[in-house]
Amino acid sequence: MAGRLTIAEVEHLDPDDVSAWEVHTPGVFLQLVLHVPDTENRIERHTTRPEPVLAAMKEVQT
Amino acid sequence: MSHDRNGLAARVGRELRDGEYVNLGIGLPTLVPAHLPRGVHVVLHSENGILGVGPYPVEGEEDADLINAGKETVTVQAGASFFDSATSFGMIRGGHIDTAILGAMQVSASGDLANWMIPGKMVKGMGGAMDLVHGARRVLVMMEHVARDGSPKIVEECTLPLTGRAVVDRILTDLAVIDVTPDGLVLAETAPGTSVQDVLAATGAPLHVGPR
Repeated sequence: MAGRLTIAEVEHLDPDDVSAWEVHTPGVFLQLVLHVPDTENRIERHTTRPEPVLAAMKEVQT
Repeated sequence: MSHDRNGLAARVGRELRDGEYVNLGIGLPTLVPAHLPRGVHVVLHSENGILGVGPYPVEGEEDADLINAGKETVTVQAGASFFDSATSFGMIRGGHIDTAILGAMQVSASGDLANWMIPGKMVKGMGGAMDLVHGARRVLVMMEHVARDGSPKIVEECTLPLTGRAVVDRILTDLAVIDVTPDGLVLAETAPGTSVQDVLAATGAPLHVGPR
């Protein structure tokens, strides 16, 4: 909001308008839009918990 | 003998009351939610903009856009909300977070906390810790009592760059629970199988041993 130049990197460029209820940042703050439809969204820290059923089976086995 | 990681997490879990808003630092504190006493449910805040953080997702359910401040994939509880950094830090600075549980590299006798960098080592920054230590109503430090090389992490004066001065309320380690009071550090409790002597030997600052 404070920047003189703000570039939005967007995955989905909506040919119709985005619903007013869903706008987080009004267009007045943007000067440029960069459309990157096929960007790979990488996970930096992959953290999971065990599948409940698998964990229960493991517990039975041990 | 002392607490293992899960034992320590269970002990820290007993510090929390039902319905509290809690922020967890990266590392050891992330173990606490899985070890809360029966009937205690807390609302987890993550300073990147989540209130109501849930457990880690099961394999295959990870969402690259749903991560906590430690960049770990997470899920959200029913009733959770997402918000921007300004709102998130408004919650912290406005005193709406009841308890922050943070890791530490050093804690001093007066409650100074150093938990964000070791000079010469690459760090990404202190994240929300600088705000949390002043904004959260209660600051708990959860850590191993001594460093990996055996040197004390509870010291008279921190030698590492500070996150905050006189901010820690209570230190919970694998060996002991220690309160930071105006009169200095006070031993509140020793871990099962740990003697007062063990704690004193592993602590690099004066420690008052109250009547037990």
